[in-house]
Amino acid sequence: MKNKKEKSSKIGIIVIVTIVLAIVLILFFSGRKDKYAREDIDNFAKCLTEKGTLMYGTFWCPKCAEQKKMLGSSFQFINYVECDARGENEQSQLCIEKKVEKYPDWQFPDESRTVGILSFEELGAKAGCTTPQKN
Amino acid sequence: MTKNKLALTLNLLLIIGMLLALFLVYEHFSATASKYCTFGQSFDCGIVNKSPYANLDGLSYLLTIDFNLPIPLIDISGINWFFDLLTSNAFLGFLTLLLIFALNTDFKNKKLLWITPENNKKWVIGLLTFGIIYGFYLFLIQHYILKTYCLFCIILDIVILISLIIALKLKNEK
Repeated sequence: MKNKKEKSSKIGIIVIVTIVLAIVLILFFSGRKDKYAREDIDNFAKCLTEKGTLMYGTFWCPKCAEQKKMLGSSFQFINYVECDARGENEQSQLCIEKKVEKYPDWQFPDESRTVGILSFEELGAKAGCTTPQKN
Repeated sequence: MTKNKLALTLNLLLIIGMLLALFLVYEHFSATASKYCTFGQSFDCGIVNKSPYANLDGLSYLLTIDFNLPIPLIDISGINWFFDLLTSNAFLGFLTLLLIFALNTDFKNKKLLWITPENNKKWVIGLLTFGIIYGFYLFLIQHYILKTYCLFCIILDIVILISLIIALKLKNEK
């Protein structure tokens, strides 16, 4: 009886260790999915802001979240305008004035606007910033 | 209430929980939010279930994007739809409730996975407690970050809480 118990607890430990290892491996490889150097994306985001590019969005919009995911931690350098009055640092009045209806809505230095998730290449071309190079 | 009745009530609650979890999986993948759980600005299952926090890696999004911590963003759910499903809170919730249901059902005292019959109750209570803690984290996300609530998620949390109370009663029953 005791042997059986010990055996099943050993199997339990093996299963848990396998699950933890699998999670670690997935996390490792998902991190490697990022083909750009973080520093390059940081500089790209800073360039977008320096050139006067704006992103209008809301804290709850799934596509804005996708766009934020693309930029990762470099999103902090983006000039972001929160359009929902309930959001942090909201500028809903500006969004109304600019007639922002769909999110994310990008405004470029030439005042042109594009709605949707934009790639680095699209953003770079419209804003005049060098696109980060893939590793 | 007798031990058998308590076990039966627990299983019924777990079935309700699984159905709710499956509905939330549907909400996660559907193109638009269902009208059944969208009531004004305060209750919107669509916003909650399509948000980045609806997946396990939502914690990474919270730390990197919301808290601006200089750490790499983990985006397993973004790899493809399979990883999106595998890491979605609703699907993982469904699998957990299914495991608890199996543990709570007497399969002629047979071992389930690595869990021996004498450890069943401990695992049921442990998994339900984890569910409550994770549900509370998701509730905080709804309240402070998304500023809207998912009614079916809250009902699921309540179902898990009642299940935990019953599981604790069952443990004390002889």
